[in-house]
Amino acid sequence: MRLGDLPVVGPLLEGHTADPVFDAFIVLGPLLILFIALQGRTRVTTLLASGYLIGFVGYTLVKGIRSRR
Amino acid sequence: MGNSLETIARDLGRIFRALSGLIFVSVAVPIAWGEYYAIPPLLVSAAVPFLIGRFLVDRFPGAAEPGKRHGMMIAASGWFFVALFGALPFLLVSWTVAIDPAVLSIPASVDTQTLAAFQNPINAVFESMSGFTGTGLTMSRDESVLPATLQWWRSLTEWVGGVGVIVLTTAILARPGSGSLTLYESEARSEKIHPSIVSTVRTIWWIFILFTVVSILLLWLAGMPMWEAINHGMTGLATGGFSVTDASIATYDSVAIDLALVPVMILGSIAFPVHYLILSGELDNFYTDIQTRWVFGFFSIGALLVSAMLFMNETYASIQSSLRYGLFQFVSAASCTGFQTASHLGQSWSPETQLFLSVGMVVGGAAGSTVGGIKLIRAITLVKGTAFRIRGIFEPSSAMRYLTIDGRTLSEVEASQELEEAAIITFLWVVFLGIGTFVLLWLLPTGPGGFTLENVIFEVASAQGNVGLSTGITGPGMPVTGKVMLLFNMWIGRLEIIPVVVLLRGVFVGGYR
Repeated sequence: MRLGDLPVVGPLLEGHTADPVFDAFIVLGPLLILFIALQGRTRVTTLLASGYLIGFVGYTLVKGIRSRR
Repeated sequence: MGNSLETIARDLGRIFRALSGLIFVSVAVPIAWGEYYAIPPLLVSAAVPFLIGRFLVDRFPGAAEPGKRHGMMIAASGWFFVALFGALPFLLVSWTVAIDPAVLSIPASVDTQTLAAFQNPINAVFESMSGFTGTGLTMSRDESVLPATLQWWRSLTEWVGGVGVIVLTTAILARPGSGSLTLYESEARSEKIHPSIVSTVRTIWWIFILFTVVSILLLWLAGMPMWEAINHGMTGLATGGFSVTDASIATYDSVAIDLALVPVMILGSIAFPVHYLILSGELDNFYTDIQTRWVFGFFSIGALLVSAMLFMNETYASIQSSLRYGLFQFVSAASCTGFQTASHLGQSWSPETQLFLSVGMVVGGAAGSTVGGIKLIRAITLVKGTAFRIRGIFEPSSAMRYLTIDGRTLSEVEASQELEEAAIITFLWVVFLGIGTFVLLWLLPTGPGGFTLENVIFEVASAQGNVGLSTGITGPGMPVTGKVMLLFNMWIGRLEIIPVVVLLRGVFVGGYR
């Protein structure tokens, strides 16, 4: 079964930027939020959330710098 | 029945089905929070638009694709009915709690006083319209005591409304072709990311979901509890402004949360095609795109001016406090979000500061984003077009003249067309702002102890600009006519007025066929 076959959200998940890293961010993001909601504010969840944001901003910047070369 | 009505009915049916899907998905919230008494009202709320939508779609499967006029009518009536059906969860949950059927065993902890406001259908429709249009004005006295189910539904309406009901419908019930493009353009959008409209709307949703996750995590890291971060992340990015706390963002009194929300609101003020280009590696769009450049310039200058006014009027004692509240409130107003950190804005902020914020709300952010107002590109067109016209008087009539806007070189005829379009929208905006102001001044107590003219202008500009900042006028106790007026202002503001005028002309004068 493909992501696009899922009811309601499937078609939305199909629309992507053809960038596997951003696709990973969008799939992992909601799972991370769910994990944090269940675990609460701990050192591990804070580290994971920070890592996600740093990873997202860092990757966007690196991609931008690469494309200018 | 004429073919045009069949087209409108069929497309409305598709929108209703998408809406019912949203309500149905929301059943997960009362399950997660143990608010089982809210499940039956939610299921009924989902069933009503689903059954009507299914009937309309099945009844007119071969209806023609909509043209421009019918696209506008579908968009205007679609948003009206979505607000109407979107009110059902508020209405039915509040009545379920009021009736308190033994079989649902509703906990005694449920705050019946706050919920009681939604037993009045006009309050429920107001809340729903405010949500879907991304306004944020509320009929709730204390949002923090609402059931999580309704807190979620309020946030979801704003989140979906920020991008657009038709954009959602097109993304889910993909229908390639000119009809989808017509509807897309009727919902106050014109920019395309891809040649295909279905790909465009799906990419918009993809970007929106990604940024929502980023916003939620940023707010959580700034110190917000997760449930509140989820709701404020959704409504902040959608520049809606509904809160799950009683005093909006002022509840936290946290500089970190204020500073985390500012970039979230700015993200919502930038056009989706620019976000797409930036995510594709073209970072220079931050300054090469004229609207994005103006978003940063307008927000920065406006925030500095408001801060200066606050400091000079001694509203706040220190420069730091003036900067903190000035920055947040101007970005919140100009991005049409409506989050509030300054309490008693209507009483403690000076008239000139309130009017300056009103200017920010009228102008708004970039076209193609989630903001309201007349949009920056129209303000730019008006400024540049007016200067172009005046310069022309000093030049020889035989001179070949061109106007450059957003990297496009326009001939005199093209420049006149663009200026005319921007002027018409702005004119209509001011006319309906005036009508709303007149009606509220007529209804509300004014003079000593009552509301002032600047309070009323601020409130109407806030409703029509889909902002949601309030001087204290909006609430369950305001006159019904005032609620209807603001409902109308929110509706026309979200669709940039013309589709609603076209619909009203079609209904009352004729010509819908």
